[in-house]
Amino acid sequence: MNNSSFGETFRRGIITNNPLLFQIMGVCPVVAIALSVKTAAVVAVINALELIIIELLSCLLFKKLKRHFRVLIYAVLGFAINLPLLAAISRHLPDLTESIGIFLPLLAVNSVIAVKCETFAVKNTVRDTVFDSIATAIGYGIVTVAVGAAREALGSGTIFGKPIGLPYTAEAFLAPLGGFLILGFFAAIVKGLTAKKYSEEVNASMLDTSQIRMLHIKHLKQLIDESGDDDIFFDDSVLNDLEPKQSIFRRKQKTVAPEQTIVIPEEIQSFSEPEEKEEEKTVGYQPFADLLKTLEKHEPEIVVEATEPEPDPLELNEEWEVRDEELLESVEETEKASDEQQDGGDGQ
Amino acid sequence: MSYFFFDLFSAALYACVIQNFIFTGGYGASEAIRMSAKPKNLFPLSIFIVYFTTVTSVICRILELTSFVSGLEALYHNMIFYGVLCILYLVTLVVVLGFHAPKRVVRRVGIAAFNTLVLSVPFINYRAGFNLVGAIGSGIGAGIAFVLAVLLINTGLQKLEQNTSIPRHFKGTPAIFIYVAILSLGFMALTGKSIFI
Repeated sequence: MNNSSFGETFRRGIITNNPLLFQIMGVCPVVAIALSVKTAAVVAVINALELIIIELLSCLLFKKLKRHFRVLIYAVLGFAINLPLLAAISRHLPDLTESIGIFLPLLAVNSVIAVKCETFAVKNTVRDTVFDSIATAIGYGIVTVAVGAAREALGSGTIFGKPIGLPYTAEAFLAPLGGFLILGFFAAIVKGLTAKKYSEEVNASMLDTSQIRMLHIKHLKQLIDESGDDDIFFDDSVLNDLEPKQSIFRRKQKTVAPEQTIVIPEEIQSFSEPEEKEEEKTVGYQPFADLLKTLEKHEPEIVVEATEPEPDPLELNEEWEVRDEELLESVEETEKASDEQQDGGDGQ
Repeated sequence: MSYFFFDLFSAALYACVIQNFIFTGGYGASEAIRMSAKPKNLFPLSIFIVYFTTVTSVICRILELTSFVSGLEALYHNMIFYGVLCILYLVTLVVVLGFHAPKRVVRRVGIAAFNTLVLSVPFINYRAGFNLVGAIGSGIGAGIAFVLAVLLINTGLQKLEQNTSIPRHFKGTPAIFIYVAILSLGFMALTGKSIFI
């Protein structure tokens, strides 16, 4: 891995492909227990340890195993790492154990671990996996601690346990709703800050909502069909890339008049296009003489043919439904394929 | 008999509505949000989630009723819960593979088994001191809570997809998080807590 890709891996893991903000992985521990900087830091550290170790082991040892067994192994490894940590925390930090409650044991099945192992570790080299796991752990950790700090400040009026002098505190920020809310605003801030340089990367890493989009499109198409208005039709191009503000309605274009074409016999066509200049040099004017002879034989057959105009993608015609169905099917197939890829992704 | 159904129903209602595991606890939030974006996969996953939450909850509760387990420290309870979940997953996997289920279904088993929602149910039963009927109720309730959460988030995602007036930077996951926060606020109201100040 060269320096640029090294930096790129870190940029992706921390910013553009942030597991928490854009890929919505490992949300539970953050919304449930990242109530202060201290607890958030504990979550971040435990998650980092588990993620790096399990991702590395899965890259080294489990590539050849079947996916459904790997999932079990991730969980078992998670438990194996988690239990001694829990024992240590409960001995040395009993207050923390009390406040965090049941959530620390749940970190063993954090979705970040399974997803990253399945989508990255088992498909890449050890070196790339190490970098990816570190970058993901840092990205996850930074957001977790930031969320913890914000919730502590807004919900308890303290930072690191010291009062910051807020006139009011809102306890709601200590509830999961506060976690979701802050995550939403953080995601928007990061998206806004990276909009100029990495907007495509961020958009690509975000939760895939193509199935929802397709449902919406089908619904709209159904409405158009039911309306019976011939002047409004559905634009196929939106299926490829539907931007939020892109109108999916187009005014129907007028039908193109059939063109008149002259059909030239094939022999003449072949004569009219002497392919190699070298032949011309050797034969002289012979090709032209042959052409004249052929023209004498074949009265040039001039046929006025009402050829069909090129199918206009913006035009609603009788074939519309067939083409649309085919298009929808092809999009669905692509979706399925990407879905299967991402299910890897979903973790398990 | 009537007490049985009362316990079962009240525990299920508690886990599903009053303390909805996803919105008021945050358990399984990632899976719920991610799954809501893929409504086609909801049915098999929901079945497996309900199955795992219920069966894990019941088995763990039965084990806790034995004098040997009930006398153990909390840390050993964690080990038992982990063990039960792993064994249940293996057994389910064997059955599913035995029926030559399609790959997509087999994948759902893994997602359904190893998530924070399923694992949280025995912990909550242990802490809340539910009896066996309560444990069954909370298991079923947790599964239904997941389905309810996915359906609610899915509806929201459809509306967000149609909404063209969302600011550019909030489009996508930021809007989803804020929508889930609003849902969470709604469910928090059912707990009767005064949440702001």
